[in-house]
Amino acid sequence: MKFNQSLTAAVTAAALVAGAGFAFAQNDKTVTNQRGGASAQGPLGQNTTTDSSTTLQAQPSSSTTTMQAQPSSSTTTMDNSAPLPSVDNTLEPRADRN
Amino acid sequence: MANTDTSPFDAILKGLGIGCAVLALVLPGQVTSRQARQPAPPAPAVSVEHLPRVADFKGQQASPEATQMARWVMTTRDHRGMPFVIVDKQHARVFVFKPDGTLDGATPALIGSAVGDDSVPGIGEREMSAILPHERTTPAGRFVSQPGINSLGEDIVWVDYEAAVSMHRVRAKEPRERRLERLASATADDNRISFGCINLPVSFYETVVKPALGASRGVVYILPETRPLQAVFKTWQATGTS
Repeated sequence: MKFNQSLTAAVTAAALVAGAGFAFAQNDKTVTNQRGGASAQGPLGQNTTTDSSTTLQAQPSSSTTTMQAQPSSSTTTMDNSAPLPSVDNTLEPRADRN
Repeated sequence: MANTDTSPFDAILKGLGIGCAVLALVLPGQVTSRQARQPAPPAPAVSVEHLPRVADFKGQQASPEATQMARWVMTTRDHRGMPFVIVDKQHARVFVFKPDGTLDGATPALIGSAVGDDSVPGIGEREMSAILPHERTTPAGRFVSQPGINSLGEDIVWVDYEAAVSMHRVRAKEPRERRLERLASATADDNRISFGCINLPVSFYETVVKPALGASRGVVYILPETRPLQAVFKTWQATGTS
């Protein structure tokens, strides 16, 4: 009887350890978005600064357009150096402003 | 009748059962839910290096500001290879472009009834009935759009999630507002009726917006109406127009 109880406890512990290990492995696979990281996603609908160093450089256009990208002196300007964002499905449904 | 003479095999089964039960209680949020929350695969990335540097309106009439904006986007590749939208509030028109700068479609739109380029802080959290007439603005700026669902379960495209501004199919739920008639009229003067959202014809939403922005992100440029373009989009400078 005592042997069976010990066996039960041992198997339970083994199952728990295996399950925890599996969960830990799953967590490692989960995408973690970090600022400036390879999988970073820009905040929705906001113009933010970024510490990414992969800034796109405007090049001379072949057209007659004379507009040129200029470095900004403001901290509230648009940012075209953010990494290409992917869809994040975590937005909760909410009422819009119709 | 209880059987107290259990075998080692029964003990193993019992141990496995207890272990699984405990794991099921503790780990569901760590395993199954996380897997379900994995982000959808991003839209196929368009190599920006091979994109043209000009925007093609395909003969569609557009204001000088909208034309300038589209040219600037393509010149600087500010859209990062994503589809992009230009919302011309003053003329109540929406232009949807493919990543290569060719016009995907253009349409009249309904926009916020109040003139202004900013959103009141916290407006996205308010009930519709609590939004005052002068607060019903469509904010100007550059926004990264994202497909989503509103509280009614309708698929929409979020422009500014925090401010609850979206692009969606026109809703004719309130007959007094005459939204369908306003959208169909030749003039843009009567297109200011929404609480801030950008209302689009149903057919345009289904055939242009949803295919372009209904599954992946895009960039929405809402042109200002109370200040110069440079005041909102400060990283560009127009030295002339062609």
